[in-house]
Amino acid sequence: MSDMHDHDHGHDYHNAPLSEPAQRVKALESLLVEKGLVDPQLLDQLIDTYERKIGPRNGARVIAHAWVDGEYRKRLFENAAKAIEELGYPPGPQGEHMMVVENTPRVHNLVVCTLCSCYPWSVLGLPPVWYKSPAYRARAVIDPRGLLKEFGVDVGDKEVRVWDSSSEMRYVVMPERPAGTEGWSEDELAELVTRDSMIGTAVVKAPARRARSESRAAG
Amino acid sequence: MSPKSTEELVAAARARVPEAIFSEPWEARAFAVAVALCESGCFPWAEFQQSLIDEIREAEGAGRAAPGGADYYHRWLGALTRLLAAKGIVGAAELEARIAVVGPPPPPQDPRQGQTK
Repeated sequence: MSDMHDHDHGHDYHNAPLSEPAQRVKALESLLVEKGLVDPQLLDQLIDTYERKIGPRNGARVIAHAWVDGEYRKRLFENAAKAIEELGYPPGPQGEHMMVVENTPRVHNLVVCTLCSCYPWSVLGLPPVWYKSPAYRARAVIDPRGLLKEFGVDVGDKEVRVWDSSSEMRYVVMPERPAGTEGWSEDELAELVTRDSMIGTAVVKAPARRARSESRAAG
Repeated sequence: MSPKSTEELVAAARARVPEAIFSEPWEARAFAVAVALCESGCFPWAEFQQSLIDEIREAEGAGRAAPGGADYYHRWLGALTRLLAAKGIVGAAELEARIAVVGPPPPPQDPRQGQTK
C-alpha cells in the first residue's frame, strides 16, 4: 500500500505528529520545491551555515583587528560593510548597510531594533531570543540605563546612545579595549570580545593575568 | 531548573553555542526558506522585513505576542506566507489545501494508512 503522506522526504521531520506551524512550513516548502523556487539541500546548507559558521566569532575578529590596526579601524568606521567583507565575511541579506559605533570613556552605545529584529547577521549571526522580545525592544528606548543595569552593565555617568536598527542600517558596537591588554595578539583579543559586548548589553572585561598566560602557552 | 532532554543537550553541545538559535526544526526551515527566496530574487529583503514588521505590529497590538519573544518565528512564518500570497507565489487557498495533504497527524488508534480524508 502506498503512503500518500510521503513521510520520508523531509530531512528534519520525524514521524511524530507535526505542530500546526510545522505543518504549514512543510506544506509551504513542498509547494515551493514543486514550483522550482527552493532546493531542499540549499535550505539544509543555509541552516548549517547560520547554526554553525556565522556567529559572533566573526564580529570578535573584526573588533580585535580594528583594535590593533589603526588603518583598518579607520576603514571600518568609514565603510563598515566593506571593511568587514575584507576579513572574509560577505554581507548577506542583513549586512549591506552597517555602521560601527564606538564605545568611549564618555559614551556607551546600545543597539536595538524597535520594529522587528534587524541585526548584523554577517558579524553576529542570528540574534538571541531576548533581542527579538517585545520587552527588550521597548525598554531599550524607554529606559536604557535600567535595562543595562539588568544586564549587569553600570554605565555610571556616561552618555548612553541607543541605535535603532532598521532595513536601512544595522549597527555594531565597538567595545572599549580593556586596559592591560597592550601587546596582546589579535587572537587573544578576539577571545575577549563577546556577542553581547557588540550589542552593547555587556562590556569587554579586563582579563585575569592567568587567562592570558594560558592562552599564550596554548597559542 | 527544568531538566533538558538528552537530545537538546547533545544538539546544544554540537552547535557549541550557549543558546539554541532555533528552538524547533520548523523555525530553521521557515528561516531558510525566506533567505533562499530572497537570494534567488523572489523578493528583496526589505519587502520581507516590512512584512515581518507588519506581522509583529499586529500581533503586539492584539496582545498575542509573548513578552520574551519565544513566538518570534510564528511572526516570521506569518510574514513569509503573507508576502508569498501578496506576490501571487503561493496563494492562501493553495497553501491550506497542501497543509491538508502533508500536515494533519494521523488519528490515534487508526491502523489504516494513506487515508486522505
